[in-house]
Amino acid sequence: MIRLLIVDDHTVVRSGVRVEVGDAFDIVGEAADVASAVPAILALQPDVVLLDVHMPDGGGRAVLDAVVATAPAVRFLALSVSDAAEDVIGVIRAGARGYVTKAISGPDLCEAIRRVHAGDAYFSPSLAGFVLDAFRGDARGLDPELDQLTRREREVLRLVAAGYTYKEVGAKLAISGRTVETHAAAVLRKLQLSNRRELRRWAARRHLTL
Amino acid sequence: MHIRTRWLMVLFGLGVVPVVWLVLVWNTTPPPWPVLTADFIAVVGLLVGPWLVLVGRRFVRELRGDREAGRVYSRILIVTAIIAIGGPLAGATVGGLFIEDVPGATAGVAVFSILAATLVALVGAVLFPWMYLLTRSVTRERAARVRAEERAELAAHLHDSVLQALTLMQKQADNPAVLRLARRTERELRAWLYGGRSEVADDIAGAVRAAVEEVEDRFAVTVELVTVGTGPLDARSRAVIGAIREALTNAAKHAGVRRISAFVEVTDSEVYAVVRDRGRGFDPATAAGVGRRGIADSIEGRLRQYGGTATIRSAVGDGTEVEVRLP
Repeated sequence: MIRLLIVDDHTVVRSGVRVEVGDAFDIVGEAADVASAVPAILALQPDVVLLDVHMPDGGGRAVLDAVVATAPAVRFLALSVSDAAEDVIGVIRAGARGYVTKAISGPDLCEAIRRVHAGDAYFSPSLAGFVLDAFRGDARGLDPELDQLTRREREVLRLVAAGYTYKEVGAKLAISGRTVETHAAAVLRKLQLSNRRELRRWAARRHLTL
Repeated sequence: MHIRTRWLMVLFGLGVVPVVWLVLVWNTTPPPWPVLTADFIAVVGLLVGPWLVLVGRRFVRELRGDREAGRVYSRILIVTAIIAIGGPLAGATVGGLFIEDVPGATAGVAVFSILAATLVALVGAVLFPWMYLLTRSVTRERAARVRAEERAELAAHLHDSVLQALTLMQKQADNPAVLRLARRTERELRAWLYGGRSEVADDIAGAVRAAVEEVEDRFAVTVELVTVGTGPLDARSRAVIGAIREALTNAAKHAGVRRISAFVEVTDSEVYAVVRDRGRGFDPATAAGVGRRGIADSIEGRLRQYGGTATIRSAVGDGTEVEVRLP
């Protein structure tokens, strides 16, 4: 059973998540702030951490910065009510492998946790939208050295943004579910590793710091 | 009185000329005392005067309404003038009365008093206002920063408390009225938190959002909207938005589910939108009669006019998907 740790400063949210996914996963612990989350993650070594983006003292980003290097086996799924771009892209670039909003349904959340645990990326519709937005810019004057979304990756993201599951995306594009996951992983890698000019420009346009 | 700053700088440059002249002349024939005094007055007047005017003007502009500072400034100017004029006069009087026919003494006192006046003018009328303005702008900046921090803190708090609660309410409430209220409050709060979103939607993304909100409120459904990019509103994009609104309305009315997904991407080359539900769907082959009218007229018709296309896919029990493209 996947071992899950919930980090959220709201008791209501933590208990809500417990109710929704408690049957499917082994919830090994909860943490309510950055200071207690870091030692809890290092001590418990959960499979997946469900991480609130907005917390006092730096939020999910601070937790990620503190433990990603020392606990490489732990996967992070960011959970937030925020739809502010800097929060979304910020935690993903800090190492989270997926992002869901708190309005997500229980089954979808379970699916996201499983996917992240399996080493895949989980793009919720809003995250897919942000990535598309960040990697916008058209084919004119493209620097071949820069990571660019391929046409297929773009199509996958569009369908995810439109609310399709990976399986449905595969069916629509006549590719296997596994291939959809490969595309998603590639997009995540580009997003996390690239220091691309375009991403910076996008951030500057939105007055963000990544 | 308004003297251009450039002319002030020219005057300042002129002030250097007597200095140069003095240096050149000093070694050959030292000029007589009255000439020396006059030269000295010219130098000091031309060098310090422009600064007084410059700072004074700025000071007056910045401190309009601040009476106390203005009073202090004018007092300093008066003191400066008294010392500058009174010194040479006193020197002349003293020299004339007591030390008969010693122009050196007169000139000495005059030079000394002019130097003193310059010092007072520089410190009082240039340095003091300058420092005053500096500290004031620092204080203002600090106040602005404190205000911004307070606002950010408040926003973070609202975000963490109220927004969370509203989201949970929407997830768990079954009462449509509660749902609607929670949704509207959340929307208003988000608009305030993330700022900048004007009440009047003047771009495609804003107009789509407005259409979505309208449908959400009317049918008590939740539309998960994702927009990428945006563009100006014109007749063509209005047609797309009309089609999206119609697709959303159909889904809300007929699909029998509370959750609809909508995706709108605006690129340089086209506007692409997908509206999708996981509701009961319909059989396109049998629904060609009366039921098709709405779709045909308001979605396909609108778009065909501008060279766009609409693809509607549906199957019974498998939801409906409306795909709209407008190059």
